[in-house]
Amino acid sequence: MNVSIKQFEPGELPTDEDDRRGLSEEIRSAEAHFMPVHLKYTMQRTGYLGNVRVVPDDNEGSEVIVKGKIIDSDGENIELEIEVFDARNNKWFEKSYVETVGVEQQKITEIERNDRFQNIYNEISNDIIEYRLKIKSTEIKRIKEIAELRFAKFMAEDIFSSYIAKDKEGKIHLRKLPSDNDTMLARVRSIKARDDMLVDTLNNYYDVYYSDIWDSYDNWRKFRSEELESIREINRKALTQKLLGVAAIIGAIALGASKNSDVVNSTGGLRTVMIAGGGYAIYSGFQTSKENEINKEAIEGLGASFETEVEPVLINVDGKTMKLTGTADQQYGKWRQLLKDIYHKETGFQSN
Amino acid sequence: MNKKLTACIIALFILVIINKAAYSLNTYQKTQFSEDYQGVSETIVALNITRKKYQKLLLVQKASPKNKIIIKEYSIFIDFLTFQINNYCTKLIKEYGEESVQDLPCSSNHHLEANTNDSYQTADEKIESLDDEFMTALGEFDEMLLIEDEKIAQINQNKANRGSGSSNGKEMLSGNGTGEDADSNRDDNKEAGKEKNATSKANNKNTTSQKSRSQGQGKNKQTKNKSYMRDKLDQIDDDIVARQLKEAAEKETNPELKEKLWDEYYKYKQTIGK
Repeated sequence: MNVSIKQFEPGELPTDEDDRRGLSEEIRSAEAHFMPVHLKYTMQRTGYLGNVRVVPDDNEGSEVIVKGKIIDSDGENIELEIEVFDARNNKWFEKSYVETVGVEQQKITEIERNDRFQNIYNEISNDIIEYRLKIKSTEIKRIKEIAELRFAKFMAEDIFSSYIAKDKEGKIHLRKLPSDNDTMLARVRSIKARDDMLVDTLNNYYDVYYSDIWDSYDNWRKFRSEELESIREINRKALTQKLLGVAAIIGAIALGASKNSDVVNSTGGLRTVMIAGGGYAIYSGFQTSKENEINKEAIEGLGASFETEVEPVLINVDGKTMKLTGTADQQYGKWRQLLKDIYHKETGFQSN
Repeated sequence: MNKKLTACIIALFILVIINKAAYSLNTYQKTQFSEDYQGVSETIVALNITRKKYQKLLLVQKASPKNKIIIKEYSIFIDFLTFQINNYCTKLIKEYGEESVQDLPCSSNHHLEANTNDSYQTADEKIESLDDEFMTALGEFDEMLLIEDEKIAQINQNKANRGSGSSNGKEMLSGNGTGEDADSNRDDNKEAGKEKNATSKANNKNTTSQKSRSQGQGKNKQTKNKSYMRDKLDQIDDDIVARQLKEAAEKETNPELKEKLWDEYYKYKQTIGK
């Protein structure tokens, strides 16, 4: 069974200023292009599915379509919302996938095979395969027939609209099948073969894009994760210093407030040292906190640098996609008219 | 009496001569008629055999998703062969009637229909013409995708070259900017195109010399003209269909089929030349 993965929706950036630091819509868009390609490689490797292709939008004629939305992605965390439908508009499942990869998890990455968040891709792929294996062969045949007729209807609505019907829930049902030697269907199949080739060509461009940004995207996530870990480490250190300082001052006050005058008298010097040390520790804590600023700037710098690197590559692939799909749309319009004309000449019926 | 007899004999003799001449002319026309028919029908058979071969090859190629370019080329070539077969079949039907194509791989729908709108084209011819237009549009689309795939292959090749360190220092230094990459790719494509054309011409010349040798000695004027025309046509670059036709002709072992395919190749080259 062939699977189409629609380009992911980039989703919204976090509202919190600290969480959003170093992230941008451009980076999200780059990820929305990158993730479906990596999912494609993961699914292809399983060997359980037919052709797996990334498509720019809802592709009429897809047997199974995977739609994804990025809920969160900051280099350390990923949250994806995935929906899978077949050609009947039957939803296989809708599920959220979350994964966190910290610095302590030394990930060995490999292009096409092993992403930092490989578990999430494996999980999605396994869920799709698990669902696919539950479907009977007769159902698969029906899905393929409906997929073909949906494409036929997309190309020649008047001729093929009577073969399938949509119910109230939006699910597509088969009404009848064209004969094996239907000449119009044969022509539509010729176009479908071209449509598949077009998607293959688009995928070649997506593959180039994917490999072009692999290193910089992998590094961006790794370094961003390290910077976030540094911030957390600094915050922990600063907090400890502040707490120790506060504890020392409280200790000194407690000693001074003792009812035992001997203790009060004998610890006079010590209390002074404790108060001074505590004050210094609190001051150091605040100073340490300021070190975060460097890391925050580093995160912003990393984001800006990655964005600068990825933006032209993204514009390039989007430009190629738009050009190709635009040319194809024009061509499809021409084919639609020709199909209409031929149908009219063959049958004498005038399609609208 | 003698004069009358002589006149009768002369008249009879003249009649015999006229009859003979008429018979000879008729026989000649019939021979010409059947030679034309024979030639076209043999071409149809040759093209159909080649089409079947390539349909099988296409199935084999489709089993391996890596060979997308070859698959596209074969599809275009098969479409072209179908188009040519249909053309020849239509020609035979027009000249010799429907019975003439009964044993040939021609589609059966060629019935004439009284048409109110168009007096010079039958309904089947119109469908055929629309189908041809449809096939041409498919072919154009295939060509467009093929060009895109070649561009991608070039990009990947450039990347591989950069990866293996075989490129020059300038490329290494300018490797970061995608805009620059795109420009350099365009330039590389141009260069590659030039090289391809040069190779294609060289190949064509080799093929001509090989063909000239194989045609052997004792050429008459007609074959000299044919050879001259072919030499001229070899100077025109091959496109996908021409390339496939040439390949099919080169691979063909049956000498008659081989010659038919060469004829088709040069006929096709004439259309490119125009």
